[in-house]
Amino acid sequence: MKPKELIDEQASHWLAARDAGRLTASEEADFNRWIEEDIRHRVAFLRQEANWKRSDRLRELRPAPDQPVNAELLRDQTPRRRWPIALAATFVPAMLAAYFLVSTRLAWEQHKTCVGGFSRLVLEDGSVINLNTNSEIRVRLTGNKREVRLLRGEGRFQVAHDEQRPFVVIAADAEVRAMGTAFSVRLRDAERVDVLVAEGTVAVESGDSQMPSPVKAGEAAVLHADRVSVSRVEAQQLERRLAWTSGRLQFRGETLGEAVSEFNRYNNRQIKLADASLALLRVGGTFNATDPESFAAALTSAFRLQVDRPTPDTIILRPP
Amino acid sequence: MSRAEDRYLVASLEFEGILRACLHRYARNVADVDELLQETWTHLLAAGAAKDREEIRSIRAFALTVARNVALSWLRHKQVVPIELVADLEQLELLDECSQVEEIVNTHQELAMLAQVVARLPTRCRQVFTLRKVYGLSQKEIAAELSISENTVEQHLAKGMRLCSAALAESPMAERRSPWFDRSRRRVVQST
Repeated sequence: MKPKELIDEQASHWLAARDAGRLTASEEADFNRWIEEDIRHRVAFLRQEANWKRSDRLRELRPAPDQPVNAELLRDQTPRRRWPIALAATFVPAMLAAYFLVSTRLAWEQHKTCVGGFSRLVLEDGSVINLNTNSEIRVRLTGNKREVRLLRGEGRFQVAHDEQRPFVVIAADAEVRAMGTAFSVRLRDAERVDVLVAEGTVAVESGDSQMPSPVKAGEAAVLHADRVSVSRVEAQQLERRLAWTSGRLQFRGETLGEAVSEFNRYNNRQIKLADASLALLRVGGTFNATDPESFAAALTSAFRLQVDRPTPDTIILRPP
Repeated sequence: MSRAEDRYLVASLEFEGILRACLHRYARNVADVDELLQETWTHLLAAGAAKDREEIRSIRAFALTVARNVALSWLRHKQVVPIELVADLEQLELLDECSQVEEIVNTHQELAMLAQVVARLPTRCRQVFTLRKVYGLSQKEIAAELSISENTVEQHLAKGMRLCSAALAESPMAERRSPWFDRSRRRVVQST
């Protein structure tokens, strides 16, 4: 099978040759043969042609007709660095104000969500925190440290870069330290904390551990009081485990038992399994985290499960 | 060279990312998704070539249905029926809504994004592309302007077309599914 790159290359050559408008009859015939030969040829060509046409809009950028033609018109004059500077310029006043605030009252700011709730907060330094269902944090920004205490639940942290002030998340005995990265921390219970890193690297440290261990992008760490284990996470799984930031739950072959306990985190309306054997069924799909009814309905039609609702807040699933 | 029979296929290329996401829920493997996508294209081409059928109004809905049918028959062949098939209808609508929001954002940012994509091409490619698209010079005129051969212009243009097309394919649609890309996208927009 021909690799995609080769097909794309052929497609672009045909497109450019046609654009030049000097194809001979026999070249035209070659082109027709090529495009009829394989649906992938046709698709590659049409895709590039569509994008080529789409870029006709660039014409709007043409300066007045009396200006000389300038091949360098679209040269990238903005170095990539400019954005952080612009951002810094925006945030410097905010940071000064923040500094003034924290130096006058070193207060912990409290944020929490209820069951099924999500919340997103932007700190004065530009870091963003997404709080998952039933979670609680305290935040304190000082001149040399940015501290977050996760008291309950789960948070995802997008840390604004600042080497002078490490960003530290403390959950039970665990400590996660970052300069500028994106990661999530979940406090499972007093004994277990899960850390998932999406960008950059963080250093994690647990109660008794001697040395902080690095956790890199695409890795997950499980922290117990006496040990830290780090494992690699596939991109798909990473995305799935962070799907909650958009209010969804994604399953890819997890057991029904796991899926149900995920749903129960987000809802007062709890799903229960009448029979332990059901917990082993494998499920897949993307669901609205706060809609256990749709999930139950999907299960009834897929596995023919029976549903009981003894109280408004209980959904019991029974084997067929 | 838009032939009439290509019309559904061309229209569907605009939401290729959505079709891919849709197929991805039936097939996990990228190679399988690719294969199912090829088959979807083949069906869309056949639908465009069919003489005696009514014109399709919502190409998006049609293409999604085709993709789903292709995936279903593939699954039937494999004898696996995942649960997502059931929650599927709702899902499709959801995908659909998302994509519309995306498109609204798109028209506003399209020009800035195109300029950005061109700005990042290799120097010669960028110059040729700029002269061709912004100033509307022919390849022949570009060759004279830059004092290079017409053949070289054609080569650079081909490369530019390919790189731009790839960059555009990666923009909005492809990123839609992952919240992690939000920031990087905003960066692209703000720096222009």
